[in-house]
Amino acid sequence: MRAYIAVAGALLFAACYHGPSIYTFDPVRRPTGVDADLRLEKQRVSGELLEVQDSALIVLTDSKRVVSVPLRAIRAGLFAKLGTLLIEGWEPHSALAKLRSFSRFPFGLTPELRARLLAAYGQTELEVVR
Amino acid sequence: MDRRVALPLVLLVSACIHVYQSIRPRPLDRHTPVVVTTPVKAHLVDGSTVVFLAGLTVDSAEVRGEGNRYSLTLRDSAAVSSIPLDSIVGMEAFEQSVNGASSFAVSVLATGGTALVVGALAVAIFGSCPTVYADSAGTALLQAEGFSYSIAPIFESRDVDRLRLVQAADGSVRLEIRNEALETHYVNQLELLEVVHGSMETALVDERNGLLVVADQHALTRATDRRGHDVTGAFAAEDGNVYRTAAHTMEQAQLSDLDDWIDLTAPAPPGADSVAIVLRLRNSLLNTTLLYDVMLGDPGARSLDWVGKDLKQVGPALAVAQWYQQRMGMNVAVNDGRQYRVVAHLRDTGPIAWKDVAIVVPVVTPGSVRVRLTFPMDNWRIDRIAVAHRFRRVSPTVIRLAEVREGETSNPTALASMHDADGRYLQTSPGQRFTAVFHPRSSAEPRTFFLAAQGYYTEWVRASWLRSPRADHGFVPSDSALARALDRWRMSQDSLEALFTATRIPTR
Repeated sequence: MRAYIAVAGALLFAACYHGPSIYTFDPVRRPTGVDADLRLEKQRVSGELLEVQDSALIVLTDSKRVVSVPLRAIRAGLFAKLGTLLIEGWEPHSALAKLRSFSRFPFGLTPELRARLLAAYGQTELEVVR
Repeated sequence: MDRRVALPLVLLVSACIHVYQSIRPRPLDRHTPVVVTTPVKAHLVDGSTVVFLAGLTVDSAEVRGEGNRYSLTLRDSAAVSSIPLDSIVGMEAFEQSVNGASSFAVSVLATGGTALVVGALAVAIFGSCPTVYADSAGTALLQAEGFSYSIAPIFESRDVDRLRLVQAADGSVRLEIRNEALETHYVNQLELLEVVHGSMETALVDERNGLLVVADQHALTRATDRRGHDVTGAFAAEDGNVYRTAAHTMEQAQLSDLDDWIDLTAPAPPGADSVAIVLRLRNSLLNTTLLYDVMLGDPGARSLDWVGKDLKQVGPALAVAQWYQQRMGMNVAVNDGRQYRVVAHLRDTGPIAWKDVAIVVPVVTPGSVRVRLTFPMDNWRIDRIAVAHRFRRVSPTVIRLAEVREGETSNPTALASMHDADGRYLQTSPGQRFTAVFHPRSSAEPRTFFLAAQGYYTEWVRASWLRSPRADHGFVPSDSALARALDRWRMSQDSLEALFTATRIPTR
């Protein structure tokens, strides 16, 4: 038994590490959400994932706009170090559960906080991108 | 689970995030503070976020640690050393994966957007594993529960459960897999096993997930409980008249005497060297009390580290596993004329679905067999016991998972996750369900299907556990823990059984 544990331990240390590390993955090390790259029918939205809602993703775009992207408008959703988690036609529930934990606000935003956030970027309401 | 399988699985463990929410300014009690050593992000009421890279300490009124607080817009940041509990909406604790492809997974999750779950947090006790249903004329009938009590990746196990279903009109077998508990399920593989047998035969699973076909079943000659009372009638038929440990026996429980047993006598055919004991049984909620109240509830927030960290280390995990294996479940012993010798051990199967099993025992006294079933007091509900004079071991036809459907949508990613026992898992949260579709070949012969399910699950740490911990350390496997569970179960079983059913999480 001891020998087996030793072998298992040796294998563990010899194992190759892939994928995001808690030592480098921004959503763990920083207050930010995961970087999202959403491919829509005619455009592309890139930025930080702020919030995961039941039917939309809220994203702070690279151009500093807070936008809402309806799930049904997303052809493919790529997320830094997590891969392509959203694909048109696929049931998104499992992916959304995972993504929610890597959003900046996994517990959601109250209307007051959302208004403050929008105001910080010169907006009064969410811009819906389809 | 075979340790030769279990230990390498340690190498495949996925990382976990532990999330809990609604920390309220209620006193935890004198046992705090609690130390969480994994990286933590705290989300505050004012929209700011605090990152504690080296973990934190939860006190009765605040969390403490070396953190950086970022404003709502992330434009400002400042070092912090403590945060009042009442300013926190929720916290996430992160842990590194050893595995490659899907390094992060949510293990304990409570999101603000899931109102149903938040509302149920304080009381929900339904668990512990995926539940399996099959459609019968428009009604979903419970068939099985998978990998019960596999409460951490290292405990990943493969369960084989007999199904009582009929194929759909198109010949397919469709099973609805539900997450009805406050748990995150990680399903590694689903397979359908098919056993063809004669019309007078019954196919069953044994205590090691092997498959048997039994025939020529006989009722017990006599069964007595540990007080010597005749309990034969309880086992005569599959009728809901079940055996449970007598209240008087439970009242006599003490630390050195926590077991109940049943002595069975049954006829054996002339010349037979073995027979199969056939049981229909399920666990009581004693085991749930042990898991929820004692293992996870008593330590409160310490359970976050216990599940998220300690149980991923070989040493602590093996200590818990070995204790659990030896102490819980059921020992099957045969009387050789002088004493009882243990010949088999049946693992706990779960408190939700009835399980049909067959356990082969040697015939050591001509013409009859005397068997003792020993288990922690009131750990089992046993509906039927019989003895099969004929049995044969069989190899099933394996039918691979053909399709996974979420509602009307086919999900090829979920299918790939569960097609093979590998490093890919389908993760489900409370309230989620999916349909597993299999396509067995058509057959005119009688046959029985079994579901082989491999995976594990993690319990959500309930807000009520965080508020009122009773222990100043994580769970320590011992008979004292079992005695505490038994005492609480004895005092609360009626209300607990009602609450258990009532707090099943509706699926969507």
